[in-house]
Amino acid sequence: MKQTRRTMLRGLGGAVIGLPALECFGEVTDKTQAPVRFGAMFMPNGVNPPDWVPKGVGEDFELSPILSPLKDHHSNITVVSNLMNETPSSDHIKLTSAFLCGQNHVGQKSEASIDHLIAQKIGGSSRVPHLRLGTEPPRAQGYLTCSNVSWNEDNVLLAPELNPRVAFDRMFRDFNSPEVRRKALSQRSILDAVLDRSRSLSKDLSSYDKGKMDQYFSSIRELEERLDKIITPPARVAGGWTPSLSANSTMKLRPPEEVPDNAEVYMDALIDIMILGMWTDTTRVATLMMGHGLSRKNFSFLDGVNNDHHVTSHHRNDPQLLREYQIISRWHVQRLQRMMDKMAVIDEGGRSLLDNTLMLFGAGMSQGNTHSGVNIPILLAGKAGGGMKTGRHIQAAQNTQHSNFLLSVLQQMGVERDRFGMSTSTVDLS
Amino acid sequence: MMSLGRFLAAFIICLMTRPLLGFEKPNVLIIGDSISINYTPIVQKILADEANVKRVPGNCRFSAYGAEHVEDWAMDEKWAVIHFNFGLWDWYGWQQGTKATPKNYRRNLERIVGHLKATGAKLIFATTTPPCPEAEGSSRVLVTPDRAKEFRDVALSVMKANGIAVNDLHGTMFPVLAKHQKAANDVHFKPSGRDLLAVEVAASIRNALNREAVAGEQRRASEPVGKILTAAEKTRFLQSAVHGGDGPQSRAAGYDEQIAPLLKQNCYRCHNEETHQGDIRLDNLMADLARERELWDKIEEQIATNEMPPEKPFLSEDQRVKIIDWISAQKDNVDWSAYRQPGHVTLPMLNRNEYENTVRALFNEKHFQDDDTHFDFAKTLSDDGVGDTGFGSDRDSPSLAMTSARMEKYVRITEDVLDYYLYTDESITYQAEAEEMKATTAVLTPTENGVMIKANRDSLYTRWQYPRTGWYLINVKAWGERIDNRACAEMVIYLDREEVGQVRLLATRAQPGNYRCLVWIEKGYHTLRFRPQRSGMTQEESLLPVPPPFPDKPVIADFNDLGLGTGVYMCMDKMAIRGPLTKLPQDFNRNEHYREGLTGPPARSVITQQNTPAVERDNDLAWEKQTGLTINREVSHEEVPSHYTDVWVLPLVKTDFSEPPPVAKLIVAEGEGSSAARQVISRFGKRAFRRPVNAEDIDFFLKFYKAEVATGAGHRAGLKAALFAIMISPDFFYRIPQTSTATRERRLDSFEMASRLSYFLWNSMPDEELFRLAEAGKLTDPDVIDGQVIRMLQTAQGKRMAGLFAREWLGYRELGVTIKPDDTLFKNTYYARNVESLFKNETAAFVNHIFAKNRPLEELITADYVFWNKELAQYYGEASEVSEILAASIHGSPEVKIAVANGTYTLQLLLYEGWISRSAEIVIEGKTIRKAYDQLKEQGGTFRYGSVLRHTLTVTDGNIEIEVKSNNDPNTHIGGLILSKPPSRDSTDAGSERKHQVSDGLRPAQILDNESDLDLEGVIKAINFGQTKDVQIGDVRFVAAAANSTVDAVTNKAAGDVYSGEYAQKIPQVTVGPLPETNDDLSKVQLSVNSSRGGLLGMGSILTVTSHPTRTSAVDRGLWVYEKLFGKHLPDPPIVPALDEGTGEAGASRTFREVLEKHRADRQCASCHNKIDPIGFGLENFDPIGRWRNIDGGKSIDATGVLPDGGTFNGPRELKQNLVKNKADFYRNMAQTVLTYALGRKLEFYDRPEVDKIVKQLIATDGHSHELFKMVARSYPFTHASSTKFVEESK
Repeated sequence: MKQTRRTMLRGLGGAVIGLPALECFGEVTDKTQAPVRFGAMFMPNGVNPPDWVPKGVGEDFELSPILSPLKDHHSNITVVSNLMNETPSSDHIKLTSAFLCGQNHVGQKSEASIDHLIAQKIGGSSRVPHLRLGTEPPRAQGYLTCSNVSWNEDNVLLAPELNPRVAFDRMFRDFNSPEVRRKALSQRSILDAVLDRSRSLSKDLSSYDKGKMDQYFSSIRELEERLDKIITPPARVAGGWTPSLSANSTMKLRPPEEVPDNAEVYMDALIDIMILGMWTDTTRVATLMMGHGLSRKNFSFLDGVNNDHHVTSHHRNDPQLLREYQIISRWHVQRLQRMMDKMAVIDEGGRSLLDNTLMLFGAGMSQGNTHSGVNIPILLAGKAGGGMKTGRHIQAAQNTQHSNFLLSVLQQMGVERDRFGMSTSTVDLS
Repeated sequence: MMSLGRFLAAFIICLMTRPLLGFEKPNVLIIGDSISINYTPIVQKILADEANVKRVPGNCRFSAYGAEHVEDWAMDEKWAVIHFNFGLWDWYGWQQGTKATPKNYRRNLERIVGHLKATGAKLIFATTTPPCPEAEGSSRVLVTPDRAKEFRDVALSVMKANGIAVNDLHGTMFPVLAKHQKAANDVHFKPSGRDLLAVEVAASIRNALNREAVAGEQRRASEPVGKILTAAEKTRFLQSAVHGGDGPQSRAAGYDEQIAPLLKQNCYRCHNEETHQGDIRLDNLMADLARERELWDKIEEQIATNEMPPEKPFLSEDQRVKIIDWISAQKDNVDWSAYRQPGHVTLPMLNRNEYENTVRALFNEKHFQDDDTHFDFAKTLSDDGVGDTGFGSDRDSPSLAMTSARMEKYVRITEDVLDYYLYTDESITYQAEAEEMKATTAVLTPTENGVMIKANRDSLYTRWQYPRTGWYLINVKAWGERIDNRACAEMVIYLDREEVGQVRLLATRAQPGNYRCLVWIEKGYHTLRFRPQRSGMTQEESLLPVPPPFPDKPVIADFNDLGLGTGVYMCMDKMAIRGPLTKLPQDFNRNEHYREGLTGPPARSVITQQNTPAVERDNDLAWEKQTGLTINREVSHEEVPSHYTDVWVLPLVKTDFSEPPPVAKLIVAEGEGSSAARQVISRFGKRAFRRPVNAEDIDFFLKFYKAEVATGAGHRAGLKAALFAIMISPDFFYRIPQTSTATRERRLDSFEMASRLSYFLWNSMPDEELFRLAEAGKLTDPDVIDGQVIRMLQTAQGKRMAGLFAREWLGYRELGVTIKPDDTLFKNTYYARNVESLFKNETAAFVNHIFAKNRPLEELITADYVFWNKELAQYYGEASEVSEILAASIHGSPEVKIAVANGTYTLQLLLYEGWISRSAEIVIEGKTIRKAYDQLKEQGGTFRYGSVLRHTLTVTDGNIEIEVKSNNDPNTHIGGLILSKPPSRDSTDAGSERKHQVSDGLRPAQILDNESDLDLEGVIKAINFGQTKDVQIGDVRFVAAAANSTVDAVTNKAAGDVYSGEYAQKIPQVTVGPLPETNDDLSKVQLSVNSSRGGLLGMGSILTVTSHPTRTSAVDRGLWVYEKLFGKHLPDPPIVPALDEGTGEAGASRTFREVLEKHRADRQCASCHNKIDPIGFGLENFDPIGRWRNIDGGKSIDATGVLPDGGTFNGPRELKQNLVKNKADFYRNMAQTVLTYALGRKLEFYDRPEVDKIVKQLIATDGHSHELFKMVARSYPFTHASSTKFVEESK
């Protein structure tokens, strides 16, 4: 059977693909400036839009009840309203998988998610090019697609890490000793040889099976890239920017082995890892699933709440459920607020970490009651290194495609795309 | 009329231009959109005897898509002819919008042609059939003839330039378009048009094949079909095709006469050419139950469930039955086996469970139990979600994919596992003299044989690298210095920051102690720290001789003279650590687990440094008086007993002291060197890849061994490199088909069957016996398979599978993960008892019992036995109504305020008044209800443990105040309180002795001397106040809980104890068999016939996971039964209408059932909720955490219901009897569920003959579980494979 061009590319291109990314990255960044980071936080089950949408448009807007925790960050956020995710009517599952892709993945191939695309653009030189965290294991059976917002080009779901300790170790622990370097070197050579042998195994496979085997090839190659970073750590440019916290000094913050019972402690632990990752420049792109898209997380630990998240999202206009829904939504915004508070005081040479970051916070669904994609809650936090004019409420035209917004975020982060998902245009963020 | 089948046979024979026998049939590939999807089956039939006609699975869509994928489509096989078309999607711009331009079309076609030419096949391009004259239905795009022509010209020019033959389907169809096209807004064709196209395509393919076969023959590939078919034959074929014959594609019998008129009358009005609501047209049915199977399934379902027609005129009952019976009869008439295919599972990859089990089994077959190795895969590897066991379509699911993050974890696990197994018998020893150790103080105080450091201040530590994970043994030679027997030094051993052991140093300078400690150490660098801290001594210890004074130093009175200040000291001589151990030390008592109490001698408050000698003495005297012991004040030289000097320090970390794993068998007794390594690799490789390995494989992996050894590393390091390479090879992660070049179905070979069986029934690799049978080639023998299935189900691995299977199938995997009962409401029950894992074990044990013991499957629902341990039996036995948990104290003279909504209540106070006569005045809402009295006197001298005070009151200020004025008697208290709504019917209940009178004010209280008179109707709150133990009164049980906490909600003047408690109802005796007396393994308990508990529907796992955090959900429970047990599916609910009505009322005034009844009154909701809600109502006697209850929200449970089939029931037991009446549906679901699990893919229509066969067999054999598993393992899709997917797909 012949070796096709496509397999050749995929099979041999790993090393070639790995290197130019670095150079390319060097071109676009001023080495004395802190890099721009990107974060995405997914909130399940939507919100009640009247409780979310701010009053007033432009710079003169008033925070809504759900957004009220951000009062000290009025000037650091950009709320974007009137975005429509895909179609007016949908469901938890589709709208979750479309949150960062603009198109859902239920039974179809869609775009790679923007966090993945941005990581490919800016994540290259960091130890963990794309950090993905979550708090809930994937949903069973047909609901898998709602457990995840990150996808790659091959329609592979990029699962989040749920255990703070495991995530932390992957970021900070495994880079430290000469022993690790020695081992990386030996692993690198074995991986290489096994990869070679595997290509011959692949040749007899049917095309479906080949596609799946390709995942194996890419994962080995990506792992090799990671090992390369351990074997030869990327050199810091003399006089160049260095993070104000070194990765090695984080070890005393290593989280406990067990996943915290308390939902708030758990979420904040994950957020702290995101902050540390960005602060130490261990990762430049981080995604947090605050719950999966059909989350039944029980929020009765909050005063005034007796129900789980999903139940309150189907509020049937019951005043009590609406109240609970609002409290739960606000709790999610409080997590963001806590994160922003911390990031705002991390100085990176004149600008704060928050200034140097673009955080996308929101949900793929407007509200559970209608399973609607119309007017989904979306806000941006941080100034993306100065490129974002913040402190605004951007009211897009009715039913503006969410893909338009995602495309604008991609462009803001330097990804050269002129179309994305179902985009018809862009949303002016600058 | 000649039948289509016979016609085709004649057609083929008369046109046969070359001998067929003795030739291998050439492969023909058809590439195209939905038009070709439709005609391909006919082409296949026409050419059945002369070519293997295949089509790319699915829709090939637009040219850009084709250009991207054509290489994949065409590269699997050697094709003689490829017949292809692109165009429709490009015209209409489906899914590509404005990118669909003639220019792009040309570029894409050129790319496609380029790829196709490389295959060496004869190529035929079919022109695109004409556009529909109106705007196309789905895209609303109108394609003009001009646009079509523009594209067509592009295509023709590309083909001409490349010398590719053209089959002009456009030309064929154009003149007869109106006759054959489905609709003016639909580009598809009626069966007549489809057949016409098929004839043309078949002819052009045959033509090309002939040209290829007959060398030198000069015929045009696109020769018109008329030249090949005689005019008469063509006419006959078309007539036959257009009007239908009695061949396999024909109209089902009786359709035109019986069914079409009914559909016309009732359905066409919405489902016609014009309106086709829900995208369904019924006026153009072919009445072919096989080819239109999805549509007919839908028709059957909608009519069976009376959902359609939604408005008048409705179908009469007779008409409905007629249609349903007809459909069902026609379905049975279809020869589904004609559609049978093995299906394709895309490169099965080990999921997390399988990976973990396989790794464990790989190294030690006996070590398949989760606890036996110390690798916690669960923590490291992320949950695969559905991929965990293989349900549904998860093998193909996007989550079960290799990503670099996952690979990274595999690499790490592989490293660890190899270190663990390869090196467990190689240990290291580190030792250090105390003087050499690092210390937290610069100045160490030397002694003649060690150093002395002060308690609570300094520590000694070492940092070493531990090469492997395992048990390490620490030996420390040390003793303590102390001045008396009130305080001593206690040595705490830390591993990094964790305290791992703690022991009081009672050995003395004269007899230094040997302290040993077992510690589990992960490989890597770690700090071991020894830190003394000041500790009290136990009474026993305080009788030990006090050590002699420090030589050459002033005696103790204190250590000030040493410049050390007062205090106690640890002296350490040296320490050593050795490990990992291959066996636990013999004298180590592994049963003496972690002892929490180890550190805590009774604290003697007298031990403080500030105490003067006088105070000390007084304290000593007081202590002696209190304990009756005498403090030894003499300085003694007696020996310290050896159990104080040779001490096992029991770890403080909770640990199972399991024996270390045996060294992996594959390493033992192999010798060393290349030939030994070759043997290990060969044996390990075969097991890891689950197939024999060839010499090439072995040489490849041996290279790693040699390379490593060449660097000077040892034999094991070499092996490690080789085994590492094996374990990260794709052959390990994936089950790679060994003979995948065959694309048609093929029988699995014996090794593949071994893996299929083992991953199906064990979620793990084959064991020795399976390997042996595979080697002997016996696993294709159905009888051998049967034997293995039964053997495997009865092993421990089979049991593990049953648990996983149950968890996935029944959906309780989320219990405790994402679905959690409310932790305030159920703090003292669900959470205090930690029943969650018991629930899961219970269900797993039960399902395993059904599977392993060949029980009838219906026992899953109706079993009259359960698997409980003592704790679970108690939990279910006292199943209870949860009341609001309040806390209060009514000891002494308390005042209690209970917040309630305004309204009228009956209040019953339970008076628990000790064993001597009590007297207290009870005041409620400011009025005296009961005066102090002499209880013994009032009750005729016979004290009954409690008495009841009942009265009715109306609350207007939001709370009830209760005051107990006791006359200096501290022991009077109210034991409990029951607050209820007075039942209105009481006024007519003349038979009742109880007089409930609704009243504004206070009525004289009734004092009932019989607790069984408690009125338990309409209870809102029930609080157990004062009892520290559980109390039973009649059918009511009060469960006492936490004590000694204060609660703000209650004003409590007296400083008495505070209790919280809850109220429980007793449930009827449920068991006849003896209850388990221990909390060890769950054991089988026989239930009484009246019990509601047995089966899945009486299990906490199911009942909890189908509830919301604070309440039950009849909808969720009903849906669960409907889906999980009967495999039926409801359409997704429409956008939920806002249910405004009635939400303004207080929630308590209506049961949830009443709210749901209202919901179901909406016809749109009712069609589904009528099917599921009643089932849920039947389970309402089970509360949100699976306990029994008779009341909810103050009202008695109404557990009656009517099922859609008319069956009525009251309560769970009758519900279950009703559910199993429909055995066929239940068996079908079981067959589908197990087959899905076994295959690891979604079932498709082509699996139906197998499912039917299994159901039939189950009905014939009373549904015993072994039949089910044997049938599945023998089934066609389980024993066969295909490398291609056949999925029919329309646009």
